[in-house]
Amino acid sequence: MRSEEDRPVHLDHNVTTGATTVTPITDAEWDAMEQREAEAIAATAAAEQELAELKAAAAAHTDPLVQALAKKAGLL
Amino acid sequence: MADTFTPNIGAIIADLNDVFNFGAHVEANFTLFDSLMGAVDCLSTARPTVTYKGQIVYEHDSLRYAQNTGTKASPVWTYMSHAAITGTSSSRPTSGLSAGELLFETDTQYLLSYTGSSWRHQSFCNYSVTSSSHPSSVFTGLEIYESDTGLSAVYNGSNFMYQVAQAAPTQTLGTTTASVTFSGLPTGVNAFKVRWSARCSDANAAEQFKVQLNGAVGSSYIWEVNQANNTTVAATTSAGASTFIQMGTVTAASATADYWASGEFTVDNGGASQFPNVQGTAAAFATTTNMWCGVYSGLYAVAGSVTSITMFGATGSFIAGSQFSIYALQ
Repeated sequence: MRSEEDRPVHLDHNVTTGATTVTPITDAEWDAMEQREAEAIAATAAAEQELAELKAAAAAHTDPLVQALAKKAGLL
Repeated sequence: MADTFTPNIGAIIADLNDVFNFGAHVEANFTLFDSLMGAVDCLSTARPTVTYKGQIVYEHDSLRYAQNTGTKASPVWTYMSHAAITGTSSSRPTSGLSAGELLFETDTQYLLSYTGSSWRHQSFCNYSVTSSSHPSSVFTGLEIYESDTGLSAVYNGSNFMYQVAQAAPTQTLGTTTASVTFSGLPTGVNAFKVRWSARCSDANAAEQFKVQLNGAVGSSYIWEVNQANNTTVAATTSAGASTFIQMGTVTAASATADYWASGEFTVDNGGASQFPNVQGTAAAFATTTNMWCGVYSGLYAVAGSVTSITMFGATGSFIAGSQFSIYALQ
């Protein structure tokens, strides 16, 4: 649930005039921001899942070469 | 033989024993001598030639008083002025001057002093000028302020040497802020340096710190990043036209408390045949084992001067306390 108190703003300081303008972001901008955040969280989770699976797969291998490569790659 | 002794001012006063003849004494011999009394009004080019030591004149062209400090036969006119002479930068006095005299130029509002051979600017504060109208009479140590560029410079005897100038007050955010822009940047400045210290509000460890110029949101940018994330060093490019330049990595809300990111970058102003270039460094720390550091660069593929710089995070907003400063470089 969004709260208006949490609505981010755009800050613009004009060097020529010395004026600082603060403008709340629009609903569309807020939607897009939350969408990007959700996508970033999902991407991070997917990457962590992939890494966990790679580590598990590496640990299951008994081949010394595979284990050496996995260790070099930081999977073991 | 010339009279070099007798004062020029004198009077014969009749007493009761004199026979006063109006016609002979007044009408036939009446001589005005008011031109010899008090401060005689004259021009600097037409001072009294019949004078005496101590006589005072007022030159209504130079607006100054002068006194004959010489003799009756060889007058020396010495100015008694205590106020600055008024003039303009194109019509400064050239004669009748002595060292230490002051001149106030009514067109430039500058105060100058006469060294004995030339006029020299005097300053009790920086001269407010423009980048295209520096003072014409300078001396080593003279400091100026350019109102169009916001830069200060000191004359070193041969050139004005510019100082690094803060172009705007540091912006310390008081609330969650999606973007920070410095707009209205003066033209005529070679480059701007931006320093930032920030953390983003979204639930990620870190994200891209992005920059756009002149409010352009289209695919006008290309960029190249050489960044290390812990032990992995990777080079990344925009791989074509992009809508932003990555100028760093900024810590976000999933990072350990009190872990922030900071960086700085320089925007080299473009020209009629030059695209603005941006390059800088940054570091972000998310946990004791997760951090980023790198060198970042980008190009804004539109010729012309940079008039605004906008900064924002890839997914979140900058939190309160984040700081942004901008400096002008010449």
